[in-house]
Amino acid sequence: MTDVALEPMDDVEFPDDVHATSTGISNPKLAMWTYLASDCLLFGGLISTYLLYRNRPGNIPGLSGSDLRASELFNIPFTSMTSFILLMSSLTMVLAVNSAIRSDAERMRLWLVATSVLGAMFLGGQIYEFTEFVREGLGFTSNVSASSFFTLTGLHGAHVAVGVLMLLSATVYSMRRTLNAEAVETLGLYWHFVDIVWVVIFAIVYLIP
Amino acid sequence: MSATIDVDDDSPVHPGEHHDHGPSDGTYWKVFWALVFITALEVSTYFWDVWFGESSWTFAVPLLLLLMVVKFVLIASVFMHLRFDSKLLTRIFYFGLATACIVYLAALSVMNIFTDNGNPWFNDPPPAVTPSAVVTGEMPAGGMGG
Amino acid sequence: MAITEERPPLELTSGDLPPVEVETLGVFHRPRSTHGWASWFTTVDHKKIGIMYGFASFFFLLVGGFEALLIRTQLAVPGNKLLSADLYNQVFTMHGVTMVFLVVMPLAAAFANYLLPLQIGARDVAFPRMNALSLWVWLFGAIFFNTSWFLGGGADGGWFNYAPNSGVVFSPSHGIDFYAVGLIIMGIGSTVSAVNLTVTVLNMRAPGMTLMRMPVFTWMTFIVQVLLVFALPVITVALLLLTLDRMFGATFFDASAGGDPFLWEHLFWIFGHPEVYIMILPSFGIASEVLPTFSRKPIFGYPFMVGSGIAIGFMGWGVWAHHMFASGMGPISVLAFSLATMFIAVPTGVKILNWMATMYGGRLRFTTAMLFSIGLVAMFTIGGLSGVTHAFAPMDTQQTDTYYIVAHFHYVLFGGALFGLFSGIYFWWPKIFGFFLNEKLGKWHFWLMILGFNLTFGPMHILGLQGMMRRTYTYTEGQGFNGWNLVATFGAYLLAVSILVFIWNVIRSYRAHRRNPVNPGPDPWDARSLEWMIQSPPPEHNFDEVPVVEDFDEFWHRKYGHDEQGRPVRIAATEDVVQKGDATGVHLPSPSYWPIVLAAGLPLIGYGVIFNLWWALPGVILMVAGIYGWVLEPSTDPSAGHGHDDDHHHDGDDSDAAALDEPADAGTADGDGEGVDADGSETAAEPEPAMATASAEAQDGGSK
Ligand code: HEM
Ligand SMILES: [Cu+2]
Repeated sequence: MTDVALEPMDDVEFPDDVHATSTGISNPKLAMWTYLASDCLLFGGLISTYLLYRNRPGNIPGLSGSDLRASELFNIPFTSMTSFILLMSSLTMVLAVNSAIRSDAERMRLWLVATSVLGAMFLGGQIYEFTEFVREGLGFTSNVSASSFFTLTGLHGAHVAVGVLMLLSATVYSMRRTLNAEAVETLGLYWHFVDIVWVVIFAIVYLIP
Repeated sequence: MSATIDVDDDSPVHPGEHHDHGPSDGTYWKVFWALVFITALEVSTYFWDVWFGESSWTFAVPLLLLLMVVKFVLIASVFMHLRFDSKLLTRIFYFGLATACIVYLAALSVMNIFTDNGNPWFNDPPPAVTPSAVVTGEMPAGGMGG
Repeated sequence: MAITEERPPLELTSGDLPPVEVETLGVFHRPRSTHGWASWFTTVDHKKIGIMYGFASFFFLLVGGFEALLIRTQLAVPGNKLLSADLYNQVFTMHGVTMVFLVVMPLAAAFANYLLPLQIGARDVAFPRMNALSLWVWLFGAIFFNTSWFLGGGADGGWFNYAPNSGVVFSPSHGIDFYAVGLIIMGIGSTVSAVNLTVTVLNMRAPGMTLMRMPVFTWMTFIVQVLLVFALPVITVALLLLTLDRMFGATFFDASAGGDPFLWEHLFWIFGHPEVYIMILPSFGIASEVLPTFSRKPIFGYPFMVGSGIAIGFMGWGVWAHHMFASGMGPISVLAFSLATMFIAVPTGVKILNWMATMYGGRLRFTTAMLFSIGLVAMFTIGGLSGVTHAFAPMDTQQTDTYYIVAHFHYVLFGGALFGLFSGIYFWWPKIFGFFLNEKLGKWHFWLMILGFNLTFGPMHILGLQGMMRRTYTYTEGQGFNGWNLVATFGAYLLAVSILVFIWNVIRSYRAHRRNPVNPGPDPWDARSLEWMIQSPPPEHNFDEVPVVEDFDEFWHRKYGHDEQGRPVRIAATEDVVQKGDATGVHLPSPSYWPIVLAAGLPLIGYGVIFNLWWALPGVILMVAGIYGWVLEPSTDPSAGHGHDDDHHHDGDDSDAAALDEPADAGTADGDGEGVDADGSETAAEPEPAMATASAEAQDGGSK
């Protein structure tokens, strides 16, 4: 479906080179990767904060706060499930991209919706996990270990939530306007990035004691 | 609309030209199953101390880090197309990642989280600290005790 | 640093989904006008955005300068009671933050926005609407930050804001809340702009403009953008933790609850040292344009100039803990960071030598711009040398937190960064506004400024070594600090006078121009890079015809060839080389309301976070409205004329929405893909053989 490209260039806009970028990479994709590279340092900072504080409950006499650590409350089987869900959403995302490449709008929307549903399930799991923690007495302000855990996973959750919104918006958008494959791919990049951040968090925060 | 058409060939822009498209659905599924398998392996380490005894942790930690890296690279290379796309993107992304790792690891080691260099929280559980130490202000915060 | 392509970019160009008819959404009519005062609020033109950055940051220069005068007046005599200790803390903190984030960075951003597209031969930046967004986010963040004066007092923890002074216990007012939230907001703006400009430099270069043909200013600005991309998230983390500490009850930096004040110091300086290069490199770039122009010689050692910039960019990441020598981080860390800091002086020295070699044997013209650039070289050298003295940890423990440090960073930041920026103002003013600034007043400005500057900050070296601590609101009679402090205060007022001279110069030159307009012409200085090839002020579309670049210093080489001795010989009259600016029918992105709407949401959210979360709600609504309005709006108004009825154009201008979440229009990816085959991927790589031969004779750009 490339009729747009067929349109005659009646007035000369860019006499020499109408559509090329200097590197051949499209602007949005390059921008997305640059942003993701930048985000590495954001999550890196928060992961480091957690690593620094994870063994620091305030159970030392004279220090305030609860002596519970986030890591003592981890429910590994449950989190494994949600990690799996997020992994699956990466698969549905690439399938959406491939459908878009084949100009198969129906399938693409299907996969996009599937991706956002999986993302929402992950978020639901996180909300459940947080409420469990609070029920067991570990709130955001209980101690530094808890604060850093909630900040890290909370910011990741916020990224997921933004991703879900963008996926749904893209789905609706594609029903009204033209959405090209590369836009879906660029959106996918963001989504996969959120997934790989979770891969790191899952291993470093959850599995390594 | 749902029919799959090979747009390549009737594209006015690249008549008959071959494109380096991303991986097929099949490849994606394969990678996905690999990721699932690795995740299962990762999760299994959680039960290792029950299965193989406490000492198995010494192997579990490096293994977990390794598996994490493998998963990371798989997703970045295949799902995010880094392997098939312009190398500039790979460079940008891994440059950011490397900067993050180097800078933060350096900062964490200066703050003594890998060494017991006066870090009261290095040992697990933390050593008992007497209230008086806190009151008199001898309680070092993190790596302050150099 | 090979950014060359071994692998063609992945193409997903064929997958356009069926188009559906485009209807323009929105409550308001789309802004059309590109003239008149209202157009400034909706413009997406990088030149207008640059000018707005410039004027706004100059305004903040006056604000920060006023704060500086307060500081100096307070310290003029011992035991002065003009400011209380508390107010003094607020004034120097607000002064520092203002000068760093509201003056030097945005003034550099003004030049970056205005000049980057011109120097690489582009019609605009990669994402014009995002460019407008960065401006408004930064400006609203800056205003938000300064409203703290009226809402309980400014921040009072110093610009580096160490814990525990940054905690609510020691700073109960809202000042530091505004610092944290305000800097997060400005950081968002800078990140957007940094990504945007990075993509612009990588992707929007004119044909033949390889990386190693880019002007040095473009290179330095590019390095700055990359530094910003990677440094801003680090400070964002620190500020986020601080916000959570102060407003949501966390204890990240509270040692009494297990927190670690050290974490703040590390995060702040991991950002902070790259930040000092973020502030100085644009001025290095400006000097590297000005010195060759007024020496009539190419920049000496272009590859070294670029290489040392890159080296500074890299090494800047490995020295941050030299700000923490006195914090007790242990001998090994001190040793490592001390060594790294000494090494970073090497690429800096390379630059200074190259500038001097550029001037050596040249036909120097001492215009105001040139004077300021020479001033930069001289003053920065002094600041760099004092920097090396505190790279040695034992010496630094004597100097740290004294006025010696204040002297150091003012020599690099004022004598370096600000002198460079003023040089740029005098140099590019005729290009930007179409009239000259008065040279005579300009020279008064320069000499008053360099005199005032040295009187203010020179004595601080001595005061610091005598033991006068910085950030202390007064001193007593017997400490022996009286004389030099009085001199410094006198110098500060001289600086204020020099700024007044500058303002007077602008007003006078403008009036003279109104009375008797004399256009300086496209190339008033006989300069070297592409921006001088178009009319002054540049037409909205920049280039009538995108130039094909065959050389470093392209414009110069179109004017001059060589004789046997390598001396420049005219080969073409300037009028024949420059573009007339009369092209019509060039498609430009249409103005848009949404950037300013989206940006307006952020300070509201900021007030909400600080005072009452409910207040954030209207901010969130504005932002959501802004984002959706943005995405649903084609970046070029279909009904705006130019004979097109579709909204696809060239790569950059219409693709901006895509990076936010999805593209607004069809033109994006297929557009970008199409050109790739032949000339698209080559530009970043080696020059095409034909070009290489054509320019073989011109390699002098780098070597001589
Ligand atoms: C020749 C290269 C340089 C060296 C070796 C150097 C070294 C240092 C060192 C060791 C300190 C810490 C002193 C202390 O707090 O005890 C310092 C402080 C500082 N430097 Fe530099 N510096 C250099 C260049 C620059 C440049 C180019 C800038 C900015 C444009 C800059 C801005 C600053 C600032 C703002 C501070 C003070 C931060 C604060 O405490 O508020 N320096 N420098
Ligand atoms: Cu530094």
